[in-house]
This record gives sequence, structure tokens and C-alpha cells, in this order.
Amino acid sequence: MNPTFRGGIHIAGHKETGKSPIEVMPAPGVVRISLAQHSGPPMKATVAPGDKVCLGQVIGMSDWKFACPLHSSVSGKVSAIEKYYDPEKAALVEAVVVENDGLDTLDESILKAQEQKKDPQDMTTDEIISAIKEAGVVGLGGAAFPAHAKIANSLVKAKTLLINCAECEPYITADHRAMLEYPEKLLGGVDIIIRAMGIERTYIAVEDNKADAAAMLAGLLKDRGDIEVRLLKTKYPQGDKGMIINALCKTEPPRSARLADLGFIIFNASTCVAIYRACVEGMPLIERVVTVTGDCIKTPKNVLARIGTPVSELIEFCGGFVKTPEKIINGGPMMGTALWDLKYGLKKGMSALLALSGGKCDDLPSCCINCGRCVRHCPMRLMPNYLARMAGARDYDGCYDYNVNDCLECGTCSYVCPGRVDIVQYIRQAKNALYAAGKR
Amino acid sequence: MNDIKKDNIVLAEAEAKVESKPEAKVESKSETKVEESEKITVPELLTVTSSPHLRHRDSTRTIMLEVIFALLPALLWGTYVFGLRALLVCIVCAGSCYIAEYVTQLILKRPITVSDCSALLTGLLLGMNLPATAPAWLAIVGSVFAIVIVKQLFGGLGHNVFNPALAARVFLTMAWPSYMTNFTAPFDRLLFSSADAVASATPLASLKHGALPDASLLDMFLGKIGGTIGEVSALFLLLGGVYLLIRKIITWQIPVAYIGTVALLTFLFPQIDGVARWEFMLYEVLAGGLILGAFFMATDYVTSPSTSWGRVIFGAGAGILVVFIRYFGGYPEGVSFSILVMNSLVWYIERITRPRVFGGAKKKHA
Repeated sequence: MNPTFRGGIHIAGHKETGKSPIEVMPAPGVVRISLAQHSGPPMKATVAPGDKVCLGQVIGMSDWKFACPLHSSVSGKVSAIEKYYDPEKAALVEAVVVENDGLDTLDESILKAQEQKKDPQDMTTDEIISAIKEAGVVGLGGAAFPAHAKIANSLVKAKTLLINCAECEPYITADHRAMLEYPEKLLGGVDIIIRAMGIERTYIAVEDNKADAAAMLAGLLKDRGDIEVRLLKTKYPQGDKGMIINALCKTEPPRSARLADLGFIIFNASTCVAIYRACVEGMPLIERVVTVTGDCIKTPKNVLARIGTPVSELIEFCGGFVKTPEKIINGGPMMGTALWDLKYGLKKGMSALLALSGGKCDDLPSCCINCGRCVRHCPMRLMPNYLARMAGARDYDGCYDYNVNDCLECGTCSYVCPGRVDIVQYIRQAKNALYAAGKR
Repeated sequence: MNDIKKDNIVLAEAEAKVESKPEAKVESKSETKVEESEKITVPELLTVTSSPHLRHRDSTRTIMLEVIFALLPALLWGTYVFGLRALLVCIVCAGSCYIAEYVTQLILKRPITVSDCSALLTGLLLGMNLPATAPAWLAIVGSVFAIVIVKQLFGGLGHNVFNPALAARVFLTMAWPSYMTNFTAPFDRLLFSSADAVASATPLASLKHGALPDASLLDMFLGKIGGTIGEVSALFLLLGGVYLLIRKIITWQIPVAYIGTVALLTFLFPQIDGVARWEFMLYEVLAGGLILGAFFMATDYVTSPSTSWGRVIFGAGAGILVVFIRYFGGYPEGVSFSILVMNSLVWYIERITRPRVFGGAKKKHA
């Protein structure tokens, strides 16, 4: 039996797209590139409406200390800088709208960088970090934390590298396909990280529903003693950093601890591919693999699409809808955010686009019957029933005492709740109130 | 995927507002019609809710229906042993609980939630805790007490402190003891009237008086004994209990701790001389409502702890109380009282058995 963590749930995978190869989507006529592409505060546009932009030209930057630049994913003309309400950031965010001229003219800076580019074997740590930063690489698993900052923050401390290929959320297969189709690039990215950080031990953690990809990587790594491919028993939320470390090493990293202090650094599989492309090919992150699926999509696919591709175009590329969707979700069904409309542009952190039809179970009011399923399944071993009850009564200090801030918001509790209580929503409400009160 | 933005909460609240706004929905519907008809239409404004967007298929209603399903073998056996009247008593109880819940919610202007079937389950359990001779008015009074006083006046499903069916059974036992202990002999089947019922002592009463019952252990296990409608057949109750365990409706902790404690204590301290310890123990475990109580009543979600260790303590505590009441109390049976006493302690038990947080100390200090 492959190792796993305690708690969590088995959910029907719906990972049929794992069998279909990645399809390259032609760049759309108009891209809508959000300026909220990484965690932290949103960026500011460095171009103005009417400007001509080239493919890979920097169009946004923030003064956040961990920030990395944003590049245009097409060449053409900036038609507008629009404000839109971003459900992921819960704020009004600007987006750069670029009309594609279809030429894909590369920016001079990229051409220059490609001329000067060195073999990654000869690059210093600083050069690697700067190459990753200039390419705008962020964590592609969903959190979108800038990758260069993660490396810089973990230098010296982290000696164990974990490549997170758990992809534990249902429906998503983008990493699975990336492992199968770009294994050299993935392992090349891993090597770059190992070199930059002086990593001693590397684990590639794959859930056993992707055993084909794991076997393939293991075959390529036959004569590498320092990298090990480990299979994990498929369970949600294994992709969480704490849970994957627990599944591999049996230790329990506290939620508040920084992984680097414990000697770990974690990268997502697709992020490694992006790091490779940044360092070896000198290409900024202008496209990503996204799983477009759900019961409303005609032909669910894995699509390699430009950042900023509108959701409506992605869906059109996959044959459109077969029935009216109730929700369109950015990310997986457990932790993704529901979108307001179809204008939303593909973001760097968007691993899946789901179109789900309704499926409302009953019309009864939600009601906790204290069944304890949330307590039994909570991977953090919290008492979500108490947290929801206390947050409902606005007893946020009580929530704090019951470790509400340790919650991953993985959604396991709401998923299993037979009383249909929106436990995660209550927990977010409590966390926000505590955050506002300065209690973290 | 694990690093969620702090601002999500604002969104969650905004989302909740939007979702609850009827205007937003109306607007989206009207837009749908404008689009061309042969294409799949997409509302201009999609539904936005907090994650997760998937739900497990089990709901309160399906769980209640599964428990009712698990009780059916024991109910059918009760009908076979005590006659059609046993079934009628249970139907009257379930029906009056259903009506009582509906009427109370109507009067209290609460949302009508009878379709969650919890009232039906309460009624069925109450019926199975009554003797087959129980008159209809007794069944109705018990049902109304269970639903109105014990459940709805405490706030309805999820808020009641005591198990409604058990509280009603104890109420009826105290108010009308003669009706509640009018047990008939097995296979002395009643059709409609209870007038020709022949009273018979239950195995539990024999044990109380210091003698082993006439029934063999096999008869006790199969249910060829006197008692309430639902409690007699250990076999069929275990069948239902195992079904609930396999379906993960209940967990093993309460039944195992409860029955285990009773078995252990009766094994260690047998009350009848000249009888093998294990024989006395088996009689004590199979007699009365212990198995019905352990699998179907003590495991009631609302009135039992939600933590694993809490469930062990709950079961063990109830087991100790059963043996104490059976040995030293005035009543021959202690299952109802033991569960009700433990019901009142659930809040404390949950607090002391709070799980240790992943990677953390037991409690974080501010």
C-alpha cells in the first residue's frame, strides 16, 4: 500500500482528460491579461492603451518585494486597460487587453537574452534566480507565489526538494500530461533547482492514479541516486504542502512553520517545466497547460493556451457547451473560485477550467446534525463543526482558540457535510475577521 | 493550491449576497432567453459560491432513510413475533411524529423540514421501543412529546440535547408504567386489539430477579423472547448495525465501547451464582434493548460526540451506567437512562477529546 496522510477523502477523479494529449491552442484575437498574476498585491501596467507590444514584452510590474514581471502573451496593440472584479482576489483588478496582430513578433529583450544565454550548467545561483524572475515564473499549482522568491527565501536552508505531482483535485490533469509529454523539460527544471540551491535529496511525489507518469519518470531517472520517484495513495488533499510532506516523511510540519526552516522546498510539476523554459530557452511564462473539463464541455481537453486567453475562447476551442453550466470554476472543484462571467482571461495560476452543471441535492435548509464527518476527515484534525457554529455566532475568538488559522480551506468538511453547511465559507469569514483584528 | 488569499473572505461574503439576491437570478434568466435558442445558452451572470463546488451524495435525508432501512429487518421480525399490531404501533408512531413535526414548524413559523425524514426515524425508533400491546393514544402521546418537547422546543434537528425517541420512552415509562411493561410472550401474535394479550416476563426481568431466563441463548440471539417490538432480535439488529457500519453511516466506537463495557463488567461481576461467567455475560448483552440502543440510539449524531475518542468515552460511560442501573437500580432496564445521561455530557466530552491539530500542540495560546 502506498503511503498517504491521515484523514482526507476519496473523491471520484473524473480525470478522463489524462488520456488526451495536450493540444496547442492558437493565440486568440484578443487577450485579456490580468495584472493580478501572482500572490500578493496586483501589478501596475507599464504600457498604456494604444501602445504596440511584442510577444514577451513586459507589460506589468509591482513594487512588492517578491514580485516578478508580467509579459505580453501576443504581439499587437494594447486596446484598453480595463478594471474587472476578480473573484480570486476578491477585488477590483486591472487587466491589459491586447489585440493580437497574429505575427507573434518576439520582443528584443528576449532575442537578446537568447543570444547571451548560457548553458544552465554554467549559470550561478544568482543568474538562475534572476532568469526565473525575469521570466515571470510563479507557482503553477494555483497559489501563484513567484518561484524566484521561493528559491531565494529557501537558499541554504532547504536541502530536500519535493516535486509535487499529486494533483489531488478531481478533474485536473494538466500536471499529469506535462509529466507524460515534457518529462525531459520537467527533469531539466528539477536539475536547475538542484544546482541553484545545492539540494541533497529530491522526491518526485506522484499519486498512484498517475502511475504511468511515475513509471516513465522513474525510467528516466534510473541512474540518478539523489532523485527518487515516490507513489502516494490517491487521496484529497494530498497536494497540500503539509500533507505531502506527511505522506512522504511521516513528519507533521506545523501550519505556521516555514517549510524552508524545516529543510524543504516544494515545486509543482508544471512550474519545473516553466523554470526549464525560462533558464534554457529564455522564454518568459506566456502560456500554460490548462485542463478544460466538466460535464458541460463537449470535448474536455488539456490545452496549451496563452496567458490572457478569455474563458469563452477556451471553451469554444473545446467544442463549446453541451448543456447550460451552473458554475464556471477557475481551478479545481474543491478549492477553485467560481467565475462571474466568461470574459475572464487565463491566469498563470489557473490549472483547470471547469464548467459544471447544477446538481443540487435538495432544497432543505442547511443544518449541522453533528455527525462528525468533518472532524473525522479534516486533514488538519480541526473541529470544523465547532468552527462553523462559532463563526455563525460571530464568536471569532472561539474560532481562534479552535485553531481556525490552521485551516487549509481544502473544502473536505463542506464536501462531506450531509447537512450541507458551507463550513469553509464560515471559516473564511472567521479568518477574515481575525485577520482584520490582527490575530493571525 | 494551498496558499489561499486572505481576501477571499470578502469575496465569500459578497458571493453569498449575490447568490441570495433574487434580482441577480431573475436578471440572469431573462438574459438567457435573449440568446439564440438552438445554441446552449449561458447566463450572463453565472452562479458564484464559495468553494468547494462538489458535495458528497450523502445528505441528511439519505442518511435518515438508510437508518430506517437498516431497522426494517428488526421491525419485520418484531411483526413476525408479536403480530401485525407491532407494525401498526410503529406506523402510528412514525406518522404522528411526522405530523407533529409539520404542525410544530408551521406554528413556530420555521422552515418545514419534514422531508429530511428525521421525524420518521424518531417515530420508528420510538415505536420499536414500545411493547406490541401499547395503545394508540400512548404511541401518539409519546410521539408528540418526542417531537414537540424534546426536539422542536430545543431548536429542532441538530439542536436537541436528548435523543427524542429515548426521552419519550422514559417519559412514557414513568407516566404509564403498566402500559409500558405489558409484554406479551413471543409468537402470541396480536392482530389489532391488545385485549387478549397474555402477559409474559422478559428475560431482563428474570435476570433482575436472580435467575437465568427460560429462553436459551440461541432464542435470545434470534429473538424468540418477549420484549419491546424492536429490541428482541439481536441477529437482525446486528445485521442492520453492520450495514450502517459498512455504509459508514455510523462508526464502530460507540457500539463497540458500549456493548464491550457491558460485556466486560458483567463478565467480571456476575450476579447469579452457579452460572458460567460467559453465559451470564451473554444473557446480559442479549437481553433488553442494549443492541438496539448501541447501534441505533446511542449513535444518533445530534446527541453523541463528534470526536472519535469522545465516542469511546460516550459508549463506555453508557455501558457502565447500564450495568449499574441493571444491578442496583429500581428498573430492570437501564439502556434508555444510560444514553440520556450521556447525552447531557456530550458537550463536555467533545471538549476534552478535541483532536490534536496536525503538526501542532494541543492548544494554541493567544
